[in-house]
Amino acid sequence: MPKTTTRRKFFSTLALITATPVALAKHIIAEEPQPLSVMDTEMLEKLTHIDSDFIAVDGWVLPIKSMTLGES
Amino acid sequence: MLFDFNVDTSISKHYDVCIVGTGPAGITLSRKLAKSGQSVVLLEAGGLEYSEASQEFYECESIGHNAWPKFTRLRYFGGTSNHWSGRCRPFESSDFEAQTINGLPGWPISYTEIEPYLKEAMEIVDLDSDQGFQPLHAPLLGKSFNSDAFAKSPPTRFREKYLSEIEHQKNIDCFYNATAIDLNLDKSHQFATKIRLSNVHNHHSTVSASKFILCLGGIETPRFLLNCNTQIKDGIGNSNDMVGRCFMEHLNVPMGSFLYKDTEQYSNLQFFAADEFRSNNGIGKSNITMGIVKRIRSYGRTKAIKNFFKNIACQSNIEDKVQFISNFKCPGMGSIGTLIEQSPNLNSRVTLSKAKDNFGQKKARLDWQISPYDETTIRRTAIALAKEFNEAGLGTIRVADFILDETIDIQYGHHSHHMGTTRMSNSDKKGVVDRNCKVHGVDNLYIAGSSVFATGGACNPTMPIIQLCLRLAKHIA
Repeated sequence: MPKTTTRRKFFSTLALITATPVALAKHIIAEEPQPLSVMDTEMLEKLTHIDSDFIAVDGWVLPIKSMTLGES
Repeated sequence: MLFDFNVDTSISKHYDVCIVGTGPAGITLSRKLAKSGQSVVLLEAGGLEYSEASQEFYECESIGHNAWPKFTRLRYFGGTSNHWSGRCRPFESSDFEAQTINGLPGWPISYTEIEPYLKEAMEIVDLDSDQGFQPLHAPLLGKSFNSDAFAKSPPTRFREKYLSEIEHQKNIDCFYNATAIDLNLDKSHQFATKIRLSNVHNHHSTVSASKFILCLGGIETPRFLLNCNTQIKDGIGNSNDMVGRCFMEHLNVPMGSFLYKDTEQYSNLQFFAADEFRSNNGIGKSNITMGIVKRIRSYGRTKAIKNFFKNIACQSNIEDKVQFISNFKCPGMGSIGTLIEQSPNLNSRVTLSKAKDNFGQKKARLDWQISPYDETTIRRTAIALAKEFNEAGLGTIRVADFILDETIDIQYGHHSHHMGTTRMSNSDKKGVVDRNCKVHGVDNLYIAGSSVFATGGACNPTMPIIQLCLRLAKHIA
């Protein structure tokens, strides 16, 4: 190690160099929102048909009529 | 009278009845039989107070789902009544209906044979027998679930309430620190003659009695019988390999969470699955508790640290994403708890481990399993509850992922209710004790407690344990 550089300075600089990309990575430019007509396959997987009257959305058990007619 | 077997090991008297174990079953039987004029020797392996040294003897190998066998039982005078919650509910007539589940018959006795003992059983645990068991709230759901009806004992600690009475009862001799290690049979192997005891100094004595009653609980009773193999190599009462089988617990399933529509109107709700719903679906009984979480709960020595991180998760709204680390609910969330009946299952069982305790007795090995019948009970109950909760306008339930997806293993915990391991049956091929709790094949050996349960119901076992003991005492007296 060069005499002008202390061990502390070396490791501090190394930490700063490796941390900066991570810190900058948090400022991600948001993606363009998808059109509503494009269904996310992940959303479809969260729908479970229970019977003729009920469906589950991500585990929430809901009456089908409220999905189509809205909650009264 | 009370005797410390670590100090006083001389037992020369012959007793009418020898009772092993001082939990609710043993204490109830000893009091009842003594009052009827029988001479009773009551044996307790632990001391009069809790000790780590005594509790170590409950070390148990667990190879199936963890039922925490070492920590759910207590090995000192009073047994597990020293830490029970006091929740009481009796069996119903539907528990005794003829049925076959997993190839095993239900109870060989009728509800009318234990119902007469309910009032006295309630008084033993300080419940108001005139009030009985009342529904906790109005019927709120549809026809699949009724309002639950249970009562809370203070809880009665049998040691605190009955130790003095037993000490002063002239025809009860109670030896504590006395571990039963063997039961001698006569040459025909049909009659028990003596029980062999040991203390911590490994000093042995024998006690002779006309009748013997084992009240050791759902794990220790089969363990004792299987270890009694000096005369019969497979253990006493085990000619058809039924001792230890059909270990049942009550299933504590994290079924999901819920939101009330009106948070001002309802607090905690308690439901019990209706008989018609169960029979239409071919499933077992269930008892559901729905309540709003008031605060984070953690257990163990690091609970402060666990609570800290759980609170951070709740405040950051990421509790969903950390459930794989720890299953918990945030304050304000609706939590659903269950006490679901487990069906009798031959593969769920207590056997013996190769490891031995300091008395040279093989330790118990517990293999707790549930069956497809239980999985169906859990899933169908959860879905029916969610539908009716919504239909009743109470709110919405979010069921756990394993409820809707049968490829995901069901998560479940225990309730510290160990049942069924010396089950009652008219046939010695389907059980260990007969309708009078007598061990098949041994004329004067009986078992009392939850190990004789043919089915577990969906209620805390203390009430039916005491009722069955009162019935047995009447039979023996």
